Amino acid sequence: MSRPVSVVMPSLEDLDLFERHMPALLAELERRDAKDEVVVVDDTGRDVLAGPLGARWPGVRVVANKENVGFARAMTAGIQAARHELVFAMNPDVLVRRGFLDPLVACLAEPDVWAVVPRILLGGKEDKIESWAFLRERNGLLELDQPALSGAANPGALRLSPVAFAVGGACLYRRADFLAQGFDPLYEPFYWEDIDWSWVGWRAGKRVLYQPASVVEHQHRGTIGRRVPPGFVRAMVERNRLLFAWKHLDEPELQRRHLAALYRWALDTYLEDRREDLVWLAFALDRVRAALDSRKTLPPALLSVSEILRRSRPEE
Amino acid sequence: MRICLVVHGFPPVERTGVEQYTLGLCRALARAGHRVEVFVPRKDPQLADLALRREEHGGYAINWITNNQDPTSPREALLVPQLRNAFAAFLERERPEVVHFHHLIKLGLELVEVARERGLPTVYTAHDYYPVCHRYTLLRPDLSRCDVRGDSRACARCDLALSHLNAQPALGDYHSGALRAQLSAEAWSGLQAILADRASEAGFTPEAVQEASEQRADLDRLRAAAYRGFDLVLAPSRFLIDELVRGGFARERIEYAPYGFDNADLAALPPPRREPGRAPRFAFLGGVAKHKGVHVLLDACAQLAGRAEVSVWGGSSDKRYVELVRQRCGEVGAQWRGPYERAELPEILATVDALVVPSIWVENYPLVIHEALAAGRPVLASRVGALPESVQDGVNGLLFAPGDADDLARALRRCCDEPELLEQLARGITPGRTMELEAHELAARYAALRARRAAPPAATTLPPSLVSILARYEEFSALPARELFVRVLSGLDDLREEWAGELGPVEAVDLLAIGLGEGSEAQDRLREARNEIAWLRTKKEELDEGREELMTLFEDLDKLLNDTRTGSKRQAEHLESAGTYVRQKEGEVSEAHARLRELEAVIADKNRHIGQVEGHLQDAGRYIRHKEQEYRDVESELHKAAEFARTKEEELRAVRAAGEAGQQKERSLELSARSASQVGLLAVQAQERLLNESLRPILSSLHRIFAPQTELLLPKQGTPFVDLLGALAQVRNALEVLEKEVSWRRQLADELNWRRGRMEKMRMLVNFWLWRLPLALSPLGREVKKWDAPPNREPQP
Repeated sequence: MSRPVSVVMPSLEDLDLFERHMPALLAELERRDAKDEVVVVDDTGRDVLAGPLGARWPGVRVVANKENVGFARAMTAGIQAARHELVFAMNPDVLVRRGFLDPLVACLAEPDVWAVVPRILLGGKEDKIESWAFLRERNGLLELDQPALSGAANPGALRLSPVAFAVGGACLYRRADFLAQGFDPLYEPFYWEDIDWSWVGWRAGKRVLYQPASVVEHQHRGTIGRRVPPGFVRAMVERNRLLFAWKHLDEPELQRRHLAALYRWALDTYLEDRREDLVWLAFALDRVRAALDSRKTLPPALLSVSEILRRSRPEE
Repeated sequence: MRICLVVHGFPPVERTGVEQYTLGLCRALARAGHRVEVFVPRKDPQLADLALRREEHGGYAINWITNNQDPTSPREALLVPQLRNAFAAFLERERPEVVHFHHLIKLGLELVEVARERGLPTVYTAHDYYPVCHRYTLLRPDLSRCDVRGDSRACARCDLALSHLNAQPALGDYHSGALRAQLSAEAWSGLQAILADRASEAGFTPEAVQEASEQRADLDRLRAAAYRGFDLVLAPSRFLIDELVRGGFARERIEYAPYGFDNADLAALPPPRREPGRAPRFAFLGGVAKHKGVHVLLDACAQLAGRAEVSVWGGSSDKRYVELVRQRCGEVGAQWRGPYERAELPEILATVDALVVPSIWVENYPLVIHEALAAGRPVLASRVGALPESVQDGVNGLLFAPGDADDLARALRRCCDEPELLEQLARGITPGRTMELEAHELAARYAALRARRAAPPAATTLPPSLVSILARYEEFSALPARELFVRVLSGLDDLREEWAGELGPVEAVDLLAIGLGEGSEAQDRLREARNEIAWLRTKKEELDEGREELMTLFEDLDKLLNDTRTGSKRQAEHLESAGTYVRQKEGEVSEAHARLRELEAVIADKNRHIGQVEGHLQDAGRYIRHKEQEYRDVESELHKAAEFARTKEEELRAVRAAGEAGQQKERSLELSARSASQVGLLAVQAQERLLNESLRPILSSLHRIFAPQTELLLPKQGTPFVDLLGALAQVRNALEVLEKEVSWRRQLADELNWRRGRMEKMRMLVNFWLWRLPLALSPLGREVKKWDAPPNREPQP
């Protein structure tokens, strides 16, 4: 029998998503017959999910936060409540396909695997893979690189391979590992906390894997984007990208290049009247102290950033 | 608070009241700790349109937006769409929290909409009557007061009157209003006719009047919509508030806010003192414009007979009026001082006992009054508009009837006659509002507007965990780009210093050099922009060349049109005379045609006669030849008969010789010979008679042709054959003459045909010009049209 898994889902009021996606998940768990469990974290702060979810799917556990704490802390609460060693963290907007879990569980049999991510199809489209994802350094700045997201055929995305990080919206890891580190509150309320957590694994000499044999669909609908002013979500992404760099860049040459890029970026954006970029920079620098404090708490790294960037990419 | 002031001009480029007031307000707001950005247009031929130049002045900054385009119509004076995006980009960059408009001329109504679209509170201070009068002054172009509000037809009459004044060279470059003395009687009469709704008397068609009314109604509607869209309207005088309300503004939306002043430098002046025997000194200070009534002061001065000193300080763009005033100063013994700077005011007012404000328009809140009062100088002002709100008659000054030089002269004489009066009035002056106080009150108004705008948001679905971070993001988003940049540089310095332990000491400028060395987007775009500019310049040159060609063409067309329009009478006269000439020639041609036809008929008749004569001559010739043949035959017969006679004589002689019996026979033969000779003679006579008869009708015809007036001499009966041949030779000569005449007639016909061709070309040329010029339907055109089908064009052979 396969190892049991706790599926943990932080949620706001996403009843419609549960209605659409929960049946496939429960069917897969039932098919596995491994005593898996589903833990939903009600992060509305108003305990609005337990009733309807309990009535619809009595086997689903609901953990209700007393107040809205955001994605990272809600996930932590859910994982703390999980009963199994293996945790599949997922968002309610993910629709699992049959047989998605076993290939992931198999990967985690290897002790040096920190986390494993399935083939996540954006919008369910076979040629838009979100999770074959890497980081790269270009002109002094760290960038997210998702080469299989563009729709172009990419044979590498059909092979088991290392990736820079496991997308937090659908990935499998060990409960103990997560609780030992957790998501860094530096990135609250959202974005890049999953990258940071994967990076902790890489720094410790572990690996993060992409398992294309496991397939889920990300039925993205941008719920946050509808609740905040335009530009805020992008500002969060850009801010956290910089905070990640300030926390992790550990080689003087990279640091120098990075600082030089930041000065150039600031000057360019100011001269070109690109206000938004200046807002991102100022928004990030507003948290520079917190990033540097977080940097100080990092344990010694077995691998440098350059080495991780190299190893976390499949060989050409 | 970040405050944006929008104004149509600003020192040092523009220096009149509103501009000076706005400068004072800027300084006061900056002193109060607010950040002020002024958005103001200016012309600068060295810069491209829409180029923005920012000047920092310690607490406030002037943002000069370049606009070198002059409006070419009332619509362009009201709407300036090209500034819309520039203002939006300025607001995006500077992120003011409130926008305070002081004027919209040269800027366009669109700017109000731009500020409102960004959700910014908008304030407007009315400095004149522009929201209800497109001429700002409530004065008509003849400088008379206008009491009509909201009637587009009446306002359109001002537009038409201005276009009438635009055509008056006597006014120079300034056509906003005219004194009667500046215009000819005809021009003044036309102006009055337009303003009295009789524009047709000044040459305007009913269609033009209607079009002007519709255009003015449209523009008034746009202006009213923009000005009524402000969140708050301020007015410095109660008179102005009343006028705005008359013009359609809701009274509750307007707040009374008298100006504050920054006149500390003037307060230190000693009060005016009249030394015994010294004449009082009066001065006009300000814009030397007609509606300021400087000429009224000078007319009053002429009545003082030198009992007071009067000086005139100032200038304006109305050069003709300035020159008029300068000359008039000389005539009435006043001093012409010309333009002055604000900084010179303490020195000027130190030489003045009282200020005179002789305005003929409904003044609002002239700064110069409060400058004079701040310097302790009483003010003599027209009792018009809001002036009585600043000058209280008998308290801090004197009032007189506007435009009334006699009443002003009475007030001036009173000051001369009552030595204590000016000092008494000076003691009645109370301290004015300070600009600090106004800035403080304005800031409170701005804050109240912001608070009203920032009403608590409606119930939102925003998760509570996002509230504080979102607020922080919005705080950054609201900062001006410059401040963001400063914060970013400061934060980067923190990061650099923090990493210095790992990196070693490194200066920001070194890092910037490294960064830029790897490539800069701004630099890339700058290069691209340079290339684009070079390309655009090339294209512009090409376009300029094309435009020049087009302009030449247009000029030619204009010239042609102008010639056609302005010189139509001359053209018509020219064409008329051409037509007369053509018609005269046409008549001559017709007459020539008639004569030709007559000649042709004569020639035809002659030809017919000649034909008949020729026929007769041919018949006669044939007959003569026949008779000649017969004559030769008769002659031959006679020869034969003579031969026969000789033969018979010989036979006779032979017979005689033969016998007596033969004598009888000899007589009989002799008788036969005689009868044969008689027969021959008779035949010749018959032939002569026949020829004679044939020649007679021919000779008669020739006689009718050549000499009908002379007696006809015909050959007599029995004329010998030889004489008849002489007559025949005369007939031949006559025929030769006739042939020559026919030949000459034919040449005449050819010449007439040639002349007809020339006339045809002339007709086509006239027709061409008639259709090129809009005269085809004129009487001349209709007349010429008739030439197209003259009767019986074909020449006779």
